[in-house]
Amino acid sequence: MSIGWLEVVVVTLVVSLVISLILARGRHWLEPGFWKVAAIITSSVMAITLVLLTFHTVQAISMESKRVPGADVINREIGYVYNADRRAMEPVLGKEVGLFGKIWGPQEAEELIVKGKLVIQSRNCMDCHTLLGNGAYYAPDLTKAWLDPKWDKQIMPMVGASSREEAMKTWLMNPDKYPTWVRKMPNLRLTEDEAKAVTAYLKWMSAIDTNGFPANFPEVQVSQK
Amino acid sequence: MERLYESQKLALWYFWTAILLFGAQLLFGLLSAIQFINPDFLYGTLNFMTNRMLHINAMVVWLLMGFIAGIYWFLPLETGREVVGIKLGKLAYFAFVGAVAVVVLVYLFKQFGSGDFFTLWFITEGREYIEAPRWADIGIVAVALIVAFNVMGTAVAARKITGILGVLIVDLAFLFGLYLAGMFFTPNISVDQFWWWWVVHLWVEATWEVLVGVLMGWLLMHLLGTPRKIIEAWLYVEVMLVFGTGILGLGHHYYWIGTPEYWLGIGGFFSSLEPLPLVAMVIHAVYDAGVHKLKTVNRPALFWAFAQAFGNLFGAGVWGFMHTLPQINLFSHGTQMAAAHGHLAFFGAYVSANLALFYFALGKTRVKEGYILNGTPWKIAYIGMIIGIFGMVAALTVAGFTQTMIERATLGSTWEAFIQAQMHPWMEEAFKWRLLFGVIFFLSYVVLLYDLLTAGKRVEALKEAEVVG
Amino acid sequence: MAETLYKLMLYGFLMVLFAGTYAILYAMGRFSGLPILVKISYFFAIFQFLAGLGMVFSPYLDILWRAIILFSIFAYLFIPPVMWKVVVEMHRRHED
Repeated sequence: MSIGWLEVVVVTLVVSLVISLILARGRHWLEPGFWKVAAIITSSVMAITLVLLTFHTVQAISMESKRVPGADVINREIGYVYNADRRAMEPVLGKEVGLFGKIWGPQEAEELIVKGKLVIQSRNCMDCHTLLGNGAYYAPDLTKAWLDPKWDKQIMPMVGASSREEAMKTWLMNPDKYPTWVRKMPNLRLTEDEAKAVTAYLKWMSAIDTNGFPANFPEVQVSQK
Repeated sequence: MERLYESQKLALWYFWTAILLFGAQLLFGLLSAIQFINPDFLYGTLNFMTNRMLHINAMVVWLLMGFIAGIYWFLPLETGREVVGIKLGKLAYFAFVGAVAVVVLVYLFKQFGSGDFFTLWFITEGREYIEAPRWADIGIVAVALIVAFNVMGTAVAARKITGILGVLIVDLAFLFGLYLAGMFFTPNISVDQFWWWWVVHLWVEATWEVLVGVLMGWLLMHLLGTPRKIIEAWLYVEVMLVFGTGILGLGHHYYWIGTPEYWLGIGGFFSSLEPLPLVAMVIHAVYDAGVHKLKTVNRPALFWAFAQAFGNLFGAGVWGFMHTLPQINLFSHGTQMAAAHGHLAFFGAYVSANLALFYFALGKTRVKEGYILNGTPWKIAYIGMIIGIFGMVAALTVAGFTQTMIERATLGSTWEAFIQAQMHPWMEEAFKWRLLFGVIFFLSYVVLLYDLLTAGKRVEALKEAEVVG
Repeated sequence: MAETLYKLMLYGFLMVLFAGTYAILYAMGRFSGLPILVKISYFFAIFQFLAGLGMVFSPYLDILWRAIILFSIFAYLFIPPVMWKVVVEMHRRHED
């Protein structure tokens, strides 16, 4: 179901205006009563519209929808390429490659994602980093952290890891041991399981369709089989 | 001086607590600002994430306490009787303060926990602005219900609901109800942030705006004698404009969190129109200032009320508009641009309002009939804080431009791009200037505190011709 | 890209800033009966319009968004005088 934003805008404004004028007729426009009607009607129209749009949106962003992947996306290769029709970058999924050397079943993957989110909240990541652009601005945005070139280029050799996820896991457990510049991430005492869960979460999050945020990111192509 | 209602005494407790928490907000802000310049400062002991969390949580709590104080101050005056259930209200105050104290101590000394529900229930929920652990959320809801009961009970007992009171009651129902939208856990970050914005946006860009409209309306009525009908008409216009643009303006937070593309249009449209009503409302503010020739029995309250009108326009309107279009926001989202906008908007819309209300209440309790609350310290604090906030915001704006243009538009929004932009000379300079102006703001706060503590010592005799209304 | 963005942000900032300044000076001028302030305010009205045009003519925005901005810059021209009349009328009506 496709919703045109312009139609929504025009309809809400017109409906608010028309109903307000009808219900407020007879009242002088300089009297509070006139504006009381306008306030109630306008607020109601906008609120009802928000509720209706919410039904559609929440469905559109549920896991395994077109926009938000299921937990088992952690088994796939993930990319990020520019779509000229949309004039925005979008995630693309490639072949099955597994994570941490195994293919995760749907139940295990789900548990891993839940754990990852719990760790992210328990360690207050949002008060230094931004996730999907929201949070604090002391540390980098994590939306596409899984796809960041730094892991392969700098961190893997630095920590001596054999894969990107191993590098991420090791780094996250000892960020104070592997500084990348003057501002260091504190050691948040992540256990190995917690670090794996966060890594999986970051991989999952990088596959969300964010309408092209962040923009200008270096493209990552994927192979299908 | 008039005898105070019990709820007005409670208002004063809330006001003083709020002002002290304001000081705490500033202290943690200073620590955070220092860490931007010297990242080794308190590293490992009191990390940025903890300082920042305390900075923003202190802000939310003190502003809320200030609003609650304003409600308790004006409610008996509006209904002509003591507030119903005021003993319960006082109990709620102690519960609120106690809960805040425990949460803060846990933030400071435990700081984080392991990745499980126990942490979310007792240490931190780790979601910006609403980090408070779940137990404290429940406490806040309980306090809110008591405040709501006080308001509605009193309106019912007085058998009258004025227009202003009606707006307050409906607004409070939404304000307190919306908090519930943040009280759940989901692994899906898009759903998490969708509902999270129902709390954050529909608080500060909708229900808080209307609440401040109510409180400032009462302030103007009592301070300047503005006729009730004008206040009411104006309040309804404000509700229409704020809810009319703000409810769907929520969409400007749904550009990039995984939600469908129609939000780019809906959110962008409504929020790009948001400055229009703000420009319109400033006309009324200037009119009010002129009509009373800036003369009143309470100078600081009046001046902070004007700061509110203009601050709202500049912080929310000017800085907000600058990066609200999705075409721009794609590059500026999650940069210091947001910090610049946020600091000025909160100061203009909410800090000023609370200070105006507090000064008004103090004037009533410390200044005798026939005298004007005035003096020099409040002026120093006023000018100092305005210079301080504009200085900080200017510095953060430079930082925001730099980050947007370099990290995002040029270098490709990667981890390395982030580092490069942060190390850019403009960025580093900006953080230094921000700290400098932050210190100026903090020192002005100290003067403000001194003035509040000693308010009433500096008064002028009223000349008959001086007061209008 | 950086240059385009920078200009768009700057024009947007100046547009609302000048619109606000126009409104404040206009109201001050009308209130205190100082025609010079009103005249100065008109300069800011023009600056506001020009800043908005800067956005309207940016190659980066689609036609619909340019239309929204165009509507805004005309609206800002009329809001101060119209609001002034409304405020005066409202006070006159309710202050007897």
